[in-house]
Amino acid sequence: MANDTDLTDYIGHSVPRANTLALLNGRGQFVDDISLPGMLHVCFVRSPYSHARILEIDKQDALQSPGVVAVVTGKELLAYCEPWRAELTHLPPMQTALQYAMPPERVCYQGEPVVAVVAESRALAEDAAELVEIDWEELANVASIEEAMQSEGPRVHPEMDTNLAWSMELEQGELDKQFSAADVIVEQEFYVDRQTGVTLEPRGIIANYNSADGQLLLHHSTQVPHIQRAVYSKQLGIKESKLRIICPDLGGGFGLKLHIYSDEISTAALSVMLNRPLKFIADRLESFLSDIHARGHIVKAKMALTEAGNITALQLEDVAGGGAYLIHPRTSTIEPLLVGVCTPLAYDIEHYKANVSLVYQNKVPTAQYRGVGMPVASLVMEGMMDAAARKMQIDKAEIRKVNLRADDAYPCKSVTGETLEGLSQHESLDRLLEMCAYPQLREEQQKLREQGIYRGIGLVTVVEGTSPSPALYAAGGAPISSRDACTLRLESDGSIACITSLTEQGQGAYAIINQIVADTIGVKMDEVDILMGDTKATPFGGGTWASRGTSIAGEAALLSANAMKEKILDAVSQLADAPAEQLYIKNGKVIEIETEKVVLTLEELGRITHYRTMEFPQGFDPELVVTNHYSQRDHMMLYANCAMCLTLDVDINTGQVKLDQIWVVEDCGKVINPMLVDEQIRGGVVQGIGSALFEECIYDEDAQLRNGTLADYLVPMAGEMPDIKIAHVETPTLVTELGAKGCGEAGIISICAAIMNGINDALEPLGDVSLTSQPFTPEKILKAIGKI
Amino acid sequence: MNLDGDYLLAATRQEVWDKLNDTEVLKECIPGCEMLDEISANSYLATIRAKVGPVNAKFKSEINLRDVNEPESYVLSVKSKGGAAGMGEGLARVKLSEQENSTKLDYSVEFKVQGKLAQIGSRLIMNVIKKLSNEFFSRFVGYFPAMPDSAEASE
Repeated sequence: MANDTDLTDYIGHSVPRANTLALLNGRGQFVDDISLPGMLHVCFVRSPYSHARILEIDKQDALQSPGVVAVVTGKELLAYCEPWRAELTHLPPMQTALQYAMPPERVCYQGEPVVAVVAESRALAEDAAELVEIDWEELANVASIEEAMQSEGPRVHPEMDTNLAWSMELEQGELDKQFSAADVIVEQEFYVDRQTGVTLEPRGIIANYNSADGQLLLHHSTQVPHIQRAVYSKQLGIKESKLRIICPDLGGGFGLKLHIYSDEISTAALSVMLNRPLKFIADRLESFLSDIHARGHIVKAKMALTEAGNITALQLEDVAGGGAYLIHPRTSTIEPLLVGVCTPLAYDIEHYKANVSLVYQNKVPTAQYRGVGMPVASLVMEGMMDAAARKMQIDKAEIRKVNLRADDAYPCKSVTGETLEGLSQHESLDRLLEMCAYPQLREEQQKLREQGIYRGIGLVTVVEGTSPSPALYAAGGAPISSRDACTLRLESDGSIACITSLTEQGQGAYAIINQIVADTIGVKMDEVDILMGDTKATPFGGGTWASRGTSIAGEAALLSANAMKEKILDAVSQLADAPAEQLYIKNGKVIEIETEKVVLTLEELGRITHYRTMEFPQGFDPELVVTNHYSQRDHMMLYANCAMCLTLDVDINTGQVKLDQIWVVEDCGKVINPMLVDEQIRGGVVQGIGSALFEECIYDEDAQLRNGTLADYLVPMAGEMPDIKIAHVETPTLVTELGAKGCGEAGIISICAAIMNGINDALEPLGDVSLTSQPFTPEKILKAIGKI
Repeated sequence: MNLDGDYLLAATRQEVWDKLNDTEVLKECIPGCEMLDEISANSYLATIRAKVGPVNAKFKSEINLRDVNEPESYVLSVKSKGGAAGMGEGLARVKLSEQENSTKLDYSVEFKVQGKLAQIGSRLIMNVIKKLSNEFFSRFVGYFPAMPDSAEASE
């Protein structure tokens, strides 16, 4: 920005975010910071078994324990919370099981809550929970994906004939013909282990039911307050208008806080039962057992190419391990669905077939987590690209250039029927190769190889689905809003109250909305105050998921800001006797275009509007409040693209991977705040470094989680973070005025494949080595090169 | 998970066998044992308090002896329930063999844990089980005279 103090030109600039100061000052307020008068604490007795029948529950000793107010079983809670079946009806039929707040008879995964203990403190509740005696009958369990697929053997849900929850086939073109005519065929099998989200702030809820007015107030750590309210309303039988959800500060979401969790909805039901405010906060051990897990795939892929390296056909088969239930209300099917839909998106592929499926296991459910299926899709696609390049001795950048669509080929339809509106893959790849000095990287690699250093270069070009339309979820009957809204109100001192349905998890939603509103109206950012995360105060909207905040809620904010500007100019024209079209707003002042004279300040307009309405002409009453909604209905998703290159070194004696440098070129359309986009990319990259190198939920043959602590489950730390250089290409979407697409998942979608490709590239001198099992741990690397 | 080892005891095989079957001795030797009752021949109920990392729980255990081959060997199976902490199951094979002026006790243990105990990881559990067995045997060895060369264990 220039030094002109009147400038309010914020869109497109790296403006610092105003709402982080409170967090830095230690004044953030998270659910656990809140305490209500008379509040009690809930702790859950969780199943030690992965599959067992509850024979008898003896709660007498627990009830006698100090400070205990209630000990409640699943059967007793049934009257307060209707069980549900997660399902989306627009996809092929799902085999879905009845889920209870707490199961009355049978548990399906280790950690499933079965008894709630309510006491005066969490510590007293935990002490009493240890005294609850449960007689169990252990049942045969289903642990691995392979076991789940067996036609004989145990079933997760005995009423079902198979453990298959859902499957779908996507087919386009003439696959057999292409494979029989192929010059080259590449086949690979990929394994992606389960991981979990590890939010800094664990899940939590305070439920406060008041029987006097029938209102239920929830302070809830959730990304999607309106969606949660719709589901809670239905299951608890409380009208949405009587159910209020407030989201205070959130310490990370990543998709983990989108779902219905047994312990949280039980806490709400218990508050109704006991007519008391109750708090439940998951501790870290509970988080590992009960937060959704993600990924868990076995993918077989086969690809046909011409001699020149053009892909002629791609076939894949994905089986995803879904855990014990389909997650509610999104279901766990979208992860494999997006593997099927998104794998071929980045390249010009005409013949394609995918069979994707989801199986039940006696494990905690898997569900939407940052990237949803797309990190697996890119792992497969980019892994196949490199496998083909290795086999055919083609350079890895070259084989991508050969198969990317031309940048002027848009709009077009992908082989899976997706509309791709405008991508810049060639431009982005060219920028990337220039930025990382690719030819020099290859020369350097050659030199290092001669010195016995196993340097790898990992390259990927991916497409990221963002900003879904209602076609993704709501079409299947789920109460998932893909719409967002923004209300603006002129206060009596001329400042602007902005109330948005978007929510903040630390990603910068507050700042983005702040920038759009201030820039569009023409006021300083600190003249705009933003309220989010309160279903009683904000307009209805979808909240934060699927990289949609800026593109959808941002568009609603833009529409509202434009409407507000018009209303302001109209009101001022009534006062000043000047036509509105001859006026504009600059730094909170309404100015006449021709004379550059200040006609009125917003401060004065606020005073006149709210106190001295007699100054307006008779018959004119200003309405300086606007609400606009926006929902993206043009395409199933707005597709963005990303090209990434990295260098890494593999120590062939220890199997350790050391990341050296990462370069990213991202096209997420119009960039509102480059710094925040870069933060999103970096955050996704670092999270994906965890997926690629460290994170796995290790289960034994009894489906017992063996590494459910932060001492045993590794996450990336500062030491593992290399320098990440980011550049942008901007191809605005044409479906909105703002032009923004999402950018929140590009990092995680790209990095796993880039690391895998980098490792395999590094190991090329050792012969035909191909690691395809994520995470790429030192043990797997040493095994692959025959060291152990 | 498995654990095995052996001890040399300065006593006859029959003497060692008798102590191994004496509930009072066992109660004294099992770390954290608050109660041990024989409910029928070769069948016991015990209450044992144990701490595994952050998990501190009272385990109600059913202990059964089978394949009893006096005074040479038996198989001891234990099923423990620790409420919210989870459960453990173990099988210990104990074999006594006569040596010159002493008896050699060989044991091998297989065990598995479920629930919170499993979650906190085999790394912790393995060390706790090792520590508990060492404690058990160091107390048990105390019932016998010291070995001349004090070479009581070769695990």
